[in-house]
Amino acid sequence: MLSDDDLRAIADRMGLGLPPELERLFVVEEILEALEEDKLERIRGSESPVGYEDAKCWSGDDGELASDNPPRLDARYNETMIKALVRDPSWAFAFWDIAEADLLALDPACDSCQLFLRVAETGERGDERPGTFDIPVAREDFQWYINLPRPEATYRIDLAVRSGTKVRVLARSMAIAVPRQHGEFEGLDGKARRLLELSGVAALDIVDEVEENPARILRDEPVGRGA
Amino acid sequence: MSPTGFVALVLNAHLPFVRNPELPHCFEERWFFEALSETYLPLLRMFRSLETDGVPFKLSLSLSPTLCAMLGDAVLAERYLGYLDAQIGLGEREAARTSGDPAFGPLADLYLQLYREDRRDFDELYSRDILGAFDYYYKRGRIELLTTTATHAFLPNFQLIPESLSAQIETALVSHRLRFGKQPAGLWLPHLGWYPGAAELLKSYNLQYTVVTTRGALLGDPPPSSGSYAPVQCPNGLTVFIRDAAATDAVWSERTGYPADAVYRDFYRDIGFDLPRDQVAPFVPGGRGPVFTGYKYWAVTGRTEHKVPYVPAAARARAEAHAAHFLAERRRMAAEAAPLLDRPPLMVCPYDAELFGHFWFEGPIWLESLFRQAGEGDLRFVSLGEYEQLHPESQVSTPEFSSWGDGGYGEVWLDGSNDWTYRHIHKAAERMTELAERFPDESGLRERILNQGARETLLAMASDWPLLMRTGRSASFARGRVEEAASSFTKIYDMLSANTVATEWLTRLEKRNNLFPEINYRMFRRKR
Repeated sequence: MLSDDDLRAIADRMGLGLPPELERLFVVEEILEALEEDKLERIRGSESPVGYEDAKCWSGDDGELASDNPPRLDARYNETMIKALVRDPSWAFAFWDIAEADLLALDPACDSCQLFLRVAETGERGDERPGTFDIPVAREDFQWYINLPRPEATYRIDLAVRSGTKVRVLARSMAIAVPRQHGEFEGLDGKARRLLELSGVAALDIVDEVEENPARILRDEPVGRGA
Repeated sequence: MSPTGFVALVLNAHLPFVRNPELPHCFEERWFFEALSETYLPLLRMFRSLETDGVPFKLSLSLSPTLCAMLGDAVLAERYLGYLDAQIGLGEREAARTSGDPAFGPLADLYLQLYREDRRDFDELYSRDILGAFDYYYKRGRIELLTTTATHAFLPNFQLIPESLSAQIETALVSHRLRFGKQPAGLWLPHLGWYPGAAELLKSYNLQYTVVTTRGALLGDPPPSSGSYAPVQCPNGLTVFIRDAAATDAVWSERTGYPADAVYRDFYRDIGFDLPRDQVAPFVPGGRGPVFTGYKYWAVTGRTEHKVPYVPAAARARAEAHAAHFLAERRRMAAEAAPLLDRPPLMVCPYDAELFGHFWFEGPIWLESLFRQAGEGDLRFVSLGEYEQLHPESQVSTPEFSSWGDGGYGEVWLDGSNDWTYRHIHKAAERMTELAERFPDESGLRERILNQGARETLLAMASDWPLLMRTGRSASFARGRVEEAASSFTKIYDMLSANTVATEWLTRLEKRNNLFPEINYRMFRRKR
């Protein structure tokens, strides 16, 4: 176990500037918090240059430089439609609208009419897993983030209304392809695996969890250097 | 000497279109002036210095169409001189204030001299023609100019409206050809935002190559057997260069990258915040609070409130040492990779140009040192086009959807802060296509209004706005720009639908958003 002095020395080296009377427990917490922050910033720095990118569009004000009376946009366009955008292997963003006429047509039917999104895997990538799931939405909702069950699948999203046992589809999105999250490196030879390793694959978190030790995976085969 | 490895530096110079001549002082135009002073002019000085000394240098530089529009604008050129005069005035005041101070006095002088040099270069040496200055090195084969999408749109989020993607590419290519006299061979994907269908889009415009992230390439189908050390080719022949992760980290990482070194100048500590506002405000017209002035006297120092003054000589020496380190690391990686490859390894290093000088003050020194230290040695700098000519064939693979944003996909440009924009931008783009189909052969006033509708649609698609909304910097300005562009488009749509035109309003909008004078709204038509 590190002594109090050792902890103090670490905190000083990290430039934390902690008051001398601070209790040991809080010193540890401060160090752990700083390390976590460092880690997050390292990840951010290595994966994303966005921190630098937005600095060029910022002159020091806290970002509240108001545009001169920007016009307000209508929230809706009075049409019945749904669109879906893929964000990453786990999430898609759907936004929709329902024309006034369609909304009015819904109302008299029943109070219990339920709007919902039906997410269906289309199997367009040749690995069909038939099945759908529904997400109930309120009439006031016009957008939703959908947690996608499976990367590398293709989905379609219906905006639908259920009345009793009847389901009516109001609008259907175009198919969206969910990107790959993990690479398929099993078929690569030793040279290629070594080159992937040199390319930094281990830090990218793209090796499948069943092969979670990237170093092991990438070093399984002897590398024929110069061969 | 035959090279043991290639290094391709790729810089993306881009700013969103922020020109607003209707305001006497448009504060956001400072973004453009700061980048001119701290990045574009220093880059040109670097080229000049290397050429004068006969040092070989090569890099690929993407000049975004919106940046080109502002670099070629007479109103902004005049305003830039006004900005420089204010900066020089502030510098003279600072030189007097810090006179006799051994730490700060020389720094005030340093900035004052830099702004005076900027003024001489801009007005006298280049006659306000910065694009012409870059073109000079382009024509001499020193740099390769690339283009990017017209308003730097993040392509994956517009896959559903292919006409808008075509319009982004077509507008960029026309703009580039008019300014530089030839078709660019390569296109910079904004934020390296790639989706598998991009290959068809780019190739359909005869573009030969682009760059993607390491993640996107390694997740490709099939995975690239050369890792990131050689490009891949999509089935349709588009060459896709792959970012080198280690080279990226060395420069981009905010915590461990070179710019974070303690001796470098601190970007955030500025007299705009350190001095009483009344001492600074007269030199920052249009400012609405404490703002950056460019006069920054402190070194990064480290995680402490007790900053130490900036020492330029020490920072220069560190930048040169970092250049040596960067080259040594690339040589080391090349030596490891070379025996496993059938060609010398390529390391592609794509960065935002404005990192160099604007954020990382010593960045241009680092860049120049790279070329000076590499000389004619075993590690050779190449442009992307040059490499593609040397090695026209590559493994066939299609990269996966990817970007250089947080998480590696699209979450920066699609999250709770900015998702509301897509409903409006998609609608505008769809309606623009509808208008182009309804009015395919217009002229006169109706053609003018259709062309302005196309401009507003493209402006709304800029990737800068969702990025700023997410990071919170200049977020309300970003929201306003999307709202203005989408709203102006809607007004145009409604006018055409009602067969009326508010001529005065249109003329005013044309004067404000005057980019892409050559635009042709018909590019929004469906491809048949």
